[in-house]
Amino acid sequence: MSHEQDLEQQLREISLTTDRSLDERIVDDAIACMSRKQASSQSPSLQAIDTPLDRRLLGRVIPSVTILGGLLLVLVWWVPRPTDTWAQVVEAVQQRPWVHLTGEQPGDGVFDQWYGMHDQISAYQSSGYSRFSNLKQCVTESYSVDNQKIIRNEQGERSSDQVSYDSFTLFFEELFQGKKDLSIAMAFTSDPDVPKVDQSRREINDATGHWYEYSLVIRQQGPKPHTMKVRVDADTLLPQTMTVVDGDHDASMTVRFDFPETGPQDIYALGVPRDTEIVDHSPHELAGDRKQLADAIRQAAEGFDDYRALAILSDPDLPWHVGTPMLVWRRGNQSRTEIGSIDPDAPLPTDIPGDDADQVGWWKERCNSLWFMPVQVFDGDKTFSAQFVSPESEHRHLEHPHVRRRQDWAVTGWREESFRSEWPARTAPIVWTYSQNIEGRLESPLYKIEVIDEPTDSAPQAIRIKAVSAPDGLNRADEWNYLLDPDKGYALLHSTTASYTIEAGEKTLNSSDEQTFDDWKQSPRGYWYPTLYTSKSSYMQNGEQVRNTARVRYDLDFDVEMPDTLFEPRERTIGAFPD
Amino acid sequence: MRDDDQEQVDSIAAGSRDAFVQVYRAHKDRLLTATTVLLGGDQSTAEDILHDVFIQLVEQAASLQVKGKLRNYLITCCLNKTRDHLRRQDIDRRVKQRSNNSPYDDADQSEQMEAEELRLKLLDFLARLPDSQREVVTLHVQGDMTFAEVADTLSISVNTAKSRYRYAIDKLQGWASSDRIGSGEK
Repeated sequence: MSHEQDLEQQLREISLTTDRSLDERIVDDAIACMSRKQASSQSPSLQAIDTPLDRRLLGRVIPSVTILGGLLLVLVWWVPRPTDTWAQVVEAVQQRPWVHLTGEQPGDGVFDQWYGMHDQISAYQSSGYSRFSNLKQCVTESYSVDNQKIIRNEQGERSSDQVSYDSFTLFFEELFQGKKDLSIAMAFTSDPDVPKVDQSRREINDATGHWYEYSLVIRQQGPKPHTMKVRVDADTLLPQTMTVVDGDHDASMTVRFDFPETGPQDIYALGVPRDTEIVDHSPHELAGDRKQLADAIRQAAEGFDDYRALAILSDPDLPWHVGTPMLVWRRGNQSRTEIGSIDPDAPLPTDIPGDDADQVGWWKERCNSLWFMPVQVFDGDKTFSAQFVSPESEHRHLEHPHVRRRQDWAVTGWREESFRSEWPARTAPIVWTYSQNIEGRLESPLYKIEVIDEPTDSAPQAIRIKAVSAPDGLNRADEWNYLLDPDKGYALLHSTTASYTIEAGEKTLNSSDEQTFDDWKQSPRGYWYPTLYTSKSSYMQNGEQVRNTARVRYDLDFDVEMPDTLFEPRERTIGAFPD
Repeated sequence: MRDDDQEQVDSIAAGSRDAFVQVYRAHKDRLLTATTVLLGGDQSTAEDILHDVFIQLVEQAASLQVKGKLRNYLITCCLNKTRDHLRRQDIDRRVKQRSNNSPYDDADQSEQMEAEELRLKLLDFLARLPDSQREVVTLHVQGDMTFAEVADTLSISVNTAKSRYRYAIDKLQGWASSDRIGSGEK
């Protein structure tokens, strides 16, 4: 054995082991963190932020998105100028029926990606993994050699494949065209800074052929420039290669293009054996009573009046005048959410109201002395989240009332989220009352559903929907219970969620959550809504069961002016309670 | 990310304690070792970084999109946090800290001490390497990464990774031979 090998062996023998106290600290903290996240996903305070753990949003971001995203990221810092010739390149690409890219990623080997420009097909293949998406039919199938199964899923409007496909087509629409607000750039970063860049085109006529080479030169944080070069065939105006060079790290990646007449029409064309078992995770089409029930819930969500909600988040053991207000505007399928905080630099209120005070009136007055930070806006098509300089984690638990120094929370921009929701009521409290999750679980093959008559004293017609999930191969199960009142338009009265670990057939409760809705009112159009919400959650921390209780009071105002600007990703210019 | 790794991350995102414990057990010692080496032997800080990395894994599991292996992702997280930490410290202080806070200080048996002394010196030598070379050695040796994976993690070319490794090994051999370790002539 050489001295070098001896040395390597000695280096390998440097091996440390964590001690038990460190293991316990990390595992306990991690599990507590998991439980908090699960609890917060049920919290009404996150009503518009919470991405439902539904089939539409559970799709993995495929490697092609990463690849293309990595390539496109460099465009963020580029200030484009118009060039007519690139527009011709765009046109040439979009007239081709298929685009095929191939390249090599360190660690992942060679990959192939196809885009069916007319058929809206996205297909990806690398070693051991294949994925085929028909975006017109909203169906994606994936296969890996490890599990030897084809998993079929329905894709939502903004699935990862759709994002990839859109990014690709946008890439060709926008590159070198002179648009100053590149949507591609917006998709991958919120960085508002635009360092100096350069752009050029040169004609090459050599032994390899006749080319146009488009170059972008950008400077990031390092001393060396980054370059991106697209080489275009001068005769066909079709790109042949795209090379991105990271000058700071002496790394590069080249993607080669070709434009075949045909491309893969199904996943089997990607080399997947035809006798592979298909596991269908696509939703069922509902029929009969279940369809009527789902339709009724959706109809209430769609038909519910426009409103502005004042939501006071608090703990049950706090006085009614101690809490954190949120403002939620809903107009059709548009919405806006803001959260109110006390600025520690501002003077504190001196009047403590009595129990007989007009609580809603007091809170509206109180809101005028707080400052509200925008959280999220849904303009009816896209969801935008406000971005801040402050490093504070959004998941950090804040005691009521929230105290944040306003100057630390300047809005630096708005990030367009990759998901969209077709559900019309993603605003509290009706996001809970007429929940999309119920429809999703009724449709999903991943849940075993029971519908049970369960009269209560206050709701003699009440029914319970019980949904139990036990995905194949997972050692956990979730159980959901929804108690609905048909006499209130199938409004949700009560729900429970429980998460179990399964070991040797034994179920152990990990965490649970209970939601209760009370103090019902009717909107001018006659739809029911709760004005009091109580949440109880429990989870394990340091080997002990931790219980949390939260309370939210709602006041809905149906006669509120809501200008269009409220539903744009910008700071609010109108007062919340101008009266 | 490999599919089984992705399933574990998905399970963590869904709140599976078992999935987390499985991932933690599979990677903790390697990560602790690599981070301690990257820190020039400061195991106490390495433990804090290990804690932060696993909590970050839980925090970000729902949106985690990592290509390659989960192990490499975790080592990269440790590397980044180590870099952040080291920016706030100078190397001499680190070496001193490592010497004063050695995980091997308690070795009290002579045979053990001999072996531990050898490792301690290796840690000293590793700490003397430039950060860029120590990172390559640590990821390749303690992280068990191929040079292609090291290059991907550090955003350098494979040839650069190999040459940095070669320079590092040459230096370590030089220091070792002058100290008569690395030659088997203890």
